[in-house]
Amino acid sequence: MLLVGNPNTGKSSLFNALTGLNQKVGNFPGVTVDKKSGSFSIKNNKVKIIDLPGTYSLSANSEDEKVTQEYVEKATGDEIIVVVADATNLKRNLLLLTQIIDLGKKVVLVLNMMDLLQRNNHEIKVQKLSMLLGIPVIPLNSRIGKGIEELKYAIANYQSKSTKFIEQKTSSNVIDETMLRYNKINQIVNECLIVNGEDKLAILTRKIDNILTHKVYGYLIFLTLLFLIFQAIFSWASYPMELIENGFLFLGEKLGNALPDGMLNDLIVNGIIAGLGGIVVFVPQITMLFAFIIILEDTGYMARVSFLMDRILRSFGLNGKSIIPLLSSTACAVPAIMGARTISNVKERLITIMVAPLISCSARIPVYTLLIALVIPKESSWGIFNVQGVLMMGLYLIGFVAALLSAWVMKMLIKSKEKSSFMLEMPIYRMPRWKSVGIEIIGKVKVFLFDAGKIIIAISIILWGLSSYGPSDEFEKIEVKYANIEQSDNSEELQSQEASEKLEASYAGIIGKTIEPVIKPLGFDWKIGISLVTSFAAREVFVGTMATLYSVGDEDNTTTIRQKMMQAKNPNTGGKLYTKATTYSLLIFYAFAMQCMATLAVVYRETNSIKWPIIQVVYMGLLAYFSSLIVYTIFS
Amino acid sequence: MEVTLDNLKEKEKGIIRQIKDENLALQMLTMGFILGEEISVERIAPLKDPILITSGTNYISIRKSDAQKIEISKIN
Repeated sequence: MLLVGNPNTGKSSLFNALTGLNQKVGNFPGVTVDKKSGSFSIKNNKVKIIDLPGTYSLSANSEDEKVTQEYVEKATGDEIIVVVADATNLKRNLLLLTQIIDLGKKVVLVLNMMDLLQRNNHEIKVQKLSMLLGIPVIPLNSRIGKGIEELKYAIANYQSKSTKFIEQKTSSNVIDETMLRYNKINQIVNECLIVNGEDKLAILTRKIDNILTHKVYGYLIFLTLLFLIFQAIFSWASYPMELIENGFLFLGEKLGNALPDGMLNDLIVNGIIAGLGGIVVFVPQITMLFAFIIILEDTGYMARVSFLMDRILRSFGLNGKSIIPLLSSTACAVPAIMGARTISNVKERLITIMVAPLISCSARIPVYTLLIALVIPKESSWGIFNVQGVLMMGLYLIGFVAALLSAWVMKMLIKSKEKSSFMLEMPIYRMPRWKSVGIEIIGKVKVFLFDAGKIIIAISIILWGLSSYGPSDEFEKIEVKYANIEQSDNSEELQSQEASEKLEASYAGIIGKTIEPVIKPLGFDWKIGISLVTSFAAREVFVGTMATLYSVGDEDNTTTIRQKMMQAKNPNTGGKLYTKATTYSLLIFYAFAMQCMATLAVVYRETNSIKWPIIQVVYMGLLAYFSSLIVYTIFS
Repeated sequence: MEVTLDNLKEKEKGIIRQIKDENLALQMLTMGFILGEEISVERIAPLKDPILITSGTNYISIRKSDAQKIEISKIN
């Protein structure tokens, strides 16, 4: 069976109610349109269901609508098309329905949001509507799950005496045809819809909009909300994150002890477990951020934010709808870039995808935290502001500004004749449908865990190889040297010293030393060079690499890493290596550089071309390099 | 009075007469904005663009550049 309907009709929540977690999110072949499919059972019979993209009509405009049109037109005699309609907006919703009826398909009409209709004191004569349309009509309240059984029954015992809604197309003009449909729909709606008094919900929505889209309060409320969300994420997520970190350390230790020593042990503990831990640790933050975004979308507020931001974002070649991917990027660019699909204009979507990774994501936080602590004492403050906090916020701001400026440059460079528009329905405000929200969150987190996770694990293993192996004679020398000393003294310190020397001699170390001349003007040495290389798996790997390089046995102890880094000397000057200049330069580098294979892979998939990820690496790399160069020069 | 939609102030109304751009006309139509029916400007964004418009139970945002192509007769 196929599920179709206008946007904002609660189609997805009906899909979620029918399938529960029994669903798959994928892609329609050849296009980047979300394909949700699932199954449910009616009396032991399994029914397959596809949730088609929301559309207002079958006169296809966007990629999404073309997919729906194609699937509906190709539907076979066995497939039932369930059209989900918003009962509070019957007239417009019936347009799509009548188009499908005229294709001669098996159709069931679901009248969703009956609860809202009743609250308005309006009424629909369901039986009459069913008779006039010649198809089964099921009133439904997917919020409380009422009507689901009736729908299942109607599907199992499908009956219709459907005739053509309008006679053979009298004219080839789609507009005339649509007007003809509306005329007939008007008659039906007049007979079936009883309106008692005014539309209370619409009036309430307008009143709320007077505040939420106000020229002062509108922006103020949005900014306050953003601030609260970030505050909540950073303070609440830290507890589960610590738990996960410790859990993986514990697991690694146990496995390391249980398995026989050797290469496999090392690969599992330091390659796979460490890589997995590095992904899972971000799940709490990402879950929370997506929870907030999905709730804001479900209540109808996101449409207003897009409305408020459209004019500003348009000056930068973006679209009001870009605000959702840009906000999501503060969690992780991977699902954010996939979220850019809602932008129908190709150029605006492309620019959104290209600049989203400049916005500081969760993976940068551990790097920022470690580096900021190197140069700013925890206690220092400007008035009531903690300087560390201000610097952190500054980095986020810089990322956002860089994203906007890059977008502006791309707007000038990318040529497009496609018309840009911002026609967006403003749904009425309502309480979130929690069950559906939960399922959506799980879906997004899955994308992060599996899509990004796969790549991060693969890169982690490669990097583990690069940093565990080197030209064999060099490696043997170190092993022999330490084997001799260890006979007399087998301290932990010695072991970590050996690890550090091995990393220096490894392929990763060789790469680090090879690129040293290039990164020297930025104030970086070969050790930082190695970290830049290993950060390609995920940026936070920086912290672990630093731990190994400075022979810190206990990777979890960031205080020790910090102390070691603070003591590090610059071999040329004899002074501190991590001066303000070097640290700031490194911070900026991490803010701007494209050090994330998972993002690149998703950009490749979404743009369907190798050209855009390459451009992204190059432009972000150049931006990072020259910004760091400037910062280093200013501060040294 | 015949004007284009972008000339309306907040809370002003009119009847949709003609939409010059055929694609836009079809898109408006499928979103429930029907020729001959009432349309009103609900809100103008703080930066004067886009605008929120309604017709019946339909409530959408469109940009000024599109509003300029929608001809209406203003209701006083």
